[in-house]
Amino acid sequence: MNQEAKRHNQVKRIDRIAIAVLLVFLGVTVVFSFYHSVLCLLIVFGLRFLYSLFYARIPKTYWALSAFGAALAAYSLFYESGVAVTVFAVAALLECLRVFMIALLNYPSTVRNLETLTQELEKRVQDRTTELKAANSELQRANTKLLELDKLKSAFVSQASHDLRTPLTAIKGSLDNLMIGVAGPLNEKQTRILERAQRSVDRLTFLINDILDLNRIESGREKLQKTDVSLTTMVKGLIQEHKPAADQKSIALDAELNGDEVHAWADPHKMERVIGELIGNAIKYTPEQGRVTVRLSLQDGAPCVMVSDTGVGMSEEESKKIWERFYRTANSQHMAKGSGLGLSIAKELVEMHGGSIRATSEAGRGSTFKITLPPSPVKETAI
Amino acid sequence: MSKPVIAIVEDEEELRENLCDFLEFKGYEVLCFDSGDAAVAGCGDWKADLALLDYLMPGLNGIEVMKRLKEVHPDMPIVFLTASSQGMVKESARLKGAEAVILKPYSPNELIETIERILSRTA
Repeated sequence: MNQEAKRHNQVKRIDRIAIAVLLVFLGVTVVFSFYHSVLCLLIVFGLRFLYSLFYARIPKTYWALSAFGAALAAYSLFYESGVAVTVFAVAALLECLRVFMIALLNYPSTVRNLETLTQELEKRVQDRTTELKAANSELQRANTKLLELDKLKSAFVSQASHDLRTPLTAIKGSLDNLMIGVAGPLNEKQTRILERAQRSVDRLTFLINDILDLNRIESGREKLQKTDVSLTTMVKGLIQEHKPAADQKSIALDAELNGDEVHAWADPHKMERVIGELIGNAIKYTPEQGRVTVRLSLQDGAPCVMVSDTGVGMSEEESKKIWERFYRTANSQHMAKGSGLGLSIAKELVEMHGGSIRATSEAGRGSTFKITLPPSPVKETAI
Repeated sequence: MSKPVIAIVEDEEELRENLCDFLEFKGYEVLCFDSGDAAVAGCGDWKADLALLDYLMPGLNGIEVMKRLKEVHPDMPIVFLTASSQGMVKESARLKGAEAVILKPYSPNELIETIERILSRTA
């Protein structure tokens, strides 16, 4: 530190002497030639100004500017004559010399400063890298833990569902045996009571199956087996299948399959389940005498399935939430019984295909569910 | 014509008895075993037209029981009952020679249809 201060003083002293000498030379020039003195003044102070600009930041500039000053001085000495020019040249030369001296004196400390700076930077980089590494490994640990937890959750769900199924099978088996008359004929009331128990067992079975299915999809164990599927044929079959349920409520269930057959590159079982879920829901939430329509179309080559109903509809907020697990709309709670997982599963399955599923609705005026699948890949023509 | 014989290998007592009641009611003769080991131990002494095996049992599991039974009765059709819905179970059981896999809880119709279909084919 002390040495640094000493050197600083040294530089200051040199600077002062140099300026004093400069002023003397300037005085002399003014006496001999006003024009040259102004020029000299401009050049010298211009140089000083430039130096001051780059003084601390770019040491190399010292050398470049000083070299320029020296060259100017040499040129003046050789090609111009007269006292004023000589004096001006010497002044410029001196200025250069001054700057050289300062730079020379500053050089070791500059290098030292640079070294310290470099070291400091390196250390900082190192510190940051260590910090980043720590954060990274922390993240990795957290991620591994999450993955483990997810696996545990999946294993738990599948184990729990398995364990639930065994007693459920026993209950269902006992009820079924009574219902088919293993223990003798039943009267009407006994049958009604048993039917109630059977319906509840069926509901529980659906719920467990849905939980297991969703679990399998979420854990990535569910795989698609895609093939060329005729959605037209599929929809026709599904309409046939759901007709009895629709008839029971006097709901008109139709398909609008205008135009050519619509094909998709999809897993037939999964798509059947998704479209069946939408049709089933539409029938569930449509009051008697209503209408459920299934439409098929190709939009820019992408197969679309739309299921519209004249049912109770949903608010905008509800139509966003229906995809959440176990979400039930205000109406659904007292209208229909289900696992609350059907639409979550449908969404997952459609997204596994790379497609999308959306609901638009107006409370009281029915809903429309639209599935869009990616366009079928160009079929390879057999040779 | 004598009644067709169905062997049931199921470790859960309630399920076994329900199955037994149901199949007897449907006119089959039923042999019940409460474990895979029990079924395999004396399998030279009995013969059935079809065996219903639980897939997951303590001791010998369904697949192992099937292997042992097939050694003695190579023509006896095997149907698995399983509470795990994993497609893998279905696949692995079928690949190893089972005629069908039925998921628990099963409906009586599904069970009886499967049994009748297999028996009519092997009769």
